[in-house]
Amino acid sequence: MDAASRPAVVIDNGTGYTKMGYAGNVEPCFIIPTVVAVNESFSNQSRSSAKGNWLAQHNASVMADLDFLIGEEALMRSRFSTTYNLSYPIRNGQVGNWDAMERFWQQCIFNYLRCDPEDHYFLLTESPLTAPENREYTGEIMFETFNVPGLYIAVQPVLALAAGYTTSKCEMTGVVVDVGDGATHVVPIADGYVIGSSIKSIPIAGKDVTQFIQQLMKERGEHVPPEDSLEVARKVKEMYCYTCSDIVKEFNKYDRLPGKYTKQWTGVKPKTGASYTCDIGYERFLGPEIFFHPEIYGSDFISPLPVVIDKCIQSSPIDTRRALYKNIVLSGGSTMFKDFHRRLQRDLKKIVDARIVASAAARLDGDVKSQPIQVNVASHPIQRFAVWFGGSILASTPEFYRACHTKTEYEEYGASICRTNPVFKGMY
Amino acid sequence: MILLQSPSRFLLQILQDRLLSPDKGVDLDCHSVEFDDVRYHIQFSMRNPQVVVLSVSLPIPPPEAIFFDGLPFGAIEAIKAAYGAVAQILDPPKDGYNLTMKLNLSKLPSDEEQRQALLVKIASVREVVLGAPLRFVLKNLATKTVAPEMDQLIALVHRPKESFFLLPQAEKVTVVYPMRFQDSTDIVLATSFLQELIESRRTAGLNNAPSCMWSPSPPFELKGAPAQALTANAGFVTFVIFPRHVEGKKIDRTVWSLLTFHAYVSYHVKCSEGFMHTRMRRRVESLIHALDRAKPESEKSKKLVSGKSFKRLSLNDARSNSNS
Ligand SMILES: Nc1ncnc2c1ncn2[C@@H]1O[C@H](COP(=O)(O)OP(=O)(O)OP(=O)(O)O)[C@@H](O)[C@H]1O
Ligand SMILES: [Mg+2]
Repeated sequence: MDAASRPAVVIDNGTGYTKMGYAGNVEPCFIIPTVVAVNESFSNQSRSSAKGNWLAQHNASVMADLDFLIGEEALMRSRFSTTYNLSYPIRNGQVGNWDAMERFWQQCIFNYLRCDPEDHYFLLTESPLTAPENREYTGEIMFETFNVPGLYIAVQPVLALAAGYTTSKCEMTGVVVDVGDGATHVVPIADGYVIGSSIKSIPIAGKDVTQFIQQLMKERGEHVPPEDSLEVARKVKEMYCYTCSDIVKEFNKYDRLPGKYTKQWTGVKPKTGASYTCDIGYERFLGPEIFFHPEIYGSDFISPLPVVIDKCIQSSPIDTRRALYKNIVLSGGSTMFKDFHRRLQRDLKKIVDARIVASAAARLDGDVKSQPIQVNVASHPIQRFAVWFGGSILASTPEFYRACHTKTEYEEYGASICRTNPVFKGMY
Repeated sequence: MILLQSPSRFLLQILQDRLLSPDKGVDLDCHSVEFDDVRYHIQFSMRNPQVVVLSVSLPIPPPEAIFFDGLPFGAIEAIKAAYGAVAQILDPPKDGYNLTMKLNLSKLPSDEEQRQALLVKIASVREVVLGAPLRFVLKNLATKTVAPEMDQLIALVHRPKESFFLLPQAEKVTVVYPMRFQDSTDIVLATSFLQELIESRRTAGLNNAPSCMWSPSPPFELKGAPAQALTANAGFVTFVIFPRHVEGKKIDRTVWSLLTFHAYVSYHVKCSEGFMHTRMRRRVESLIHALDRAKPESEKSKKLVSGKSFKRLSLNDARSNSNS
């Protein structure tokens, strides 16, 4: 049977989590941490017996290459055993370790999705700043190792924009604010094409929120076992954090009614099994605040997210700006904080309005009124895996199969075909 | 880690989610495809929160492997025996599927362990349905029952339009797989992997394993098989199963392993390719390191003092020296 008659496999590899599933579904089949646990004992053994016979050494390194786990299983295993070392194949949205990445894909395909890669077209995603060489590498692995019949590598924000496309009627023009685990990108898109020169990146993302919360809790002296504190901070973030409208008011609220706003966290110490509790206070709203007041987190980067978005749109071609302000789309797990989009919209609107007033004042003739600019930050329930969902929609259109690079093309021209991926009609 | 498990992770996860959060107020309608073209479709509606409708589609059988009412021989009985009151088979099945079952979650056993076991069994529906005829033959072997189909070649579907063959006899069952691959590299790797497999079967520790053979041409057991079954680009693998391989609990593993032998080999081939890539990448890296080390000194130093060149400095020096 023809591979094009089966649903395509859609895999969105993120710094923190990998979302994978079949095109046409509403939700990914699996969301697992992007991590590989490799058994190090074999390679240590081979090093110690370096003078030993060559065969034993060879076998040991072969075993080391075959014994590995991914996802939650990898995290579990490394917690209880010291022979496994964790390696994160993706750093800040870019693949850093191709060996780990290849193993990770192998397990995703064979052990999680349990499909034969020869039977399905594949849609993979990449961050907007990926180098063409990386795309070639991906293509090489997919075509050579897994023999996929067809491959399309999509840019994450474009997919996120496509995800909004069914929920509300809109064109493929807009700004995507993708706040994931390791990187935040503000990407303007016009008619499905990324305006590459105007992409803005921010070195603050989900991981930093987690670290900030961990630091706040540590400084207050909460008794969280150190080996668990990052994990606790992450859970606290995902369960209790929200975006406030005014930091000072929020502090006052907490001081007046601490019983109402502070929460309790109960956990179990991994070593002894004893349970402990700790309080969760200001970090509930201070965590997400680092996007709006980055100076409270560190002094390296101090432009708030709304300012960066405004700069991004202002640097885009002038005829697209109105449309861009009108369609700002959120994507990624770290935009899930309650009221995140409201705050973003309000702050951005303030900046835009201030500029209109200033330019009106600068113009002497008062009768030319500039049209008000609509600022609209869209939020939708599937934000957390908007990229995957967009991929699922696009890969279920018939145009997708024509836009894919096929194995025959790959064999004819080589990996360089993966450098470009056509924007196709389904995207409008 | 390199063995394929019988329960589908996807089905198991969905069923467990359903039980853990029964009031997660969303309807569900999703599908999934597994290797060898087995497809699942799961539906769940808030109107009837205790019922999950599961449809399964099987690979299209080749002419020599017969389905009865769209299912392999004995599948209905196997489903009833495995799931009891929990599953109700809908007739006819959903359009495009071979089997549709209504799973009633309220009828699951209340004991935690038993319930988990049954969920795993439901997630293994593929083994239950496709493996039914194989299990039947192997059961007869285990109990030494003399069945009427003795000494007749039986074809069982395991991949779309492809089958493997059983030859049941009184004290053994011979299983023959025509091995076919699409990609030319895969054919070579698979062939050498299979020969290696026969080789390692001969080692001392594996005396009790089923004996296996590989040959590039069809073995004599396939005498009566149709012509299109006799072409295989990676040869033919034969296993001989004795009663000791199917006694007691062993039968489950044996059924699953025989049923997915082709998928297992194909998985191995892919893993080996990935493994070789890793090695090649590492080798290239080490060669590049070696090249770097082998660069002549002058080239290295040139790189180090880029910017201010040595020459100009000395010229200036010379000039200032002569001026003074
Ligand atoms: N409900 C939630 N509230 C707040 N943060 C959340 C929530 N759910 C997930 N997150 C955070 O979102 C991040 C993961 O987001 P996502 O899966 O979009 O990132 P990614 O795609 O892996 O990374 P990237 O896109 O940067 O490569 C994690 O830091 C996680 O802690
Ligand atoms: Mg992402």
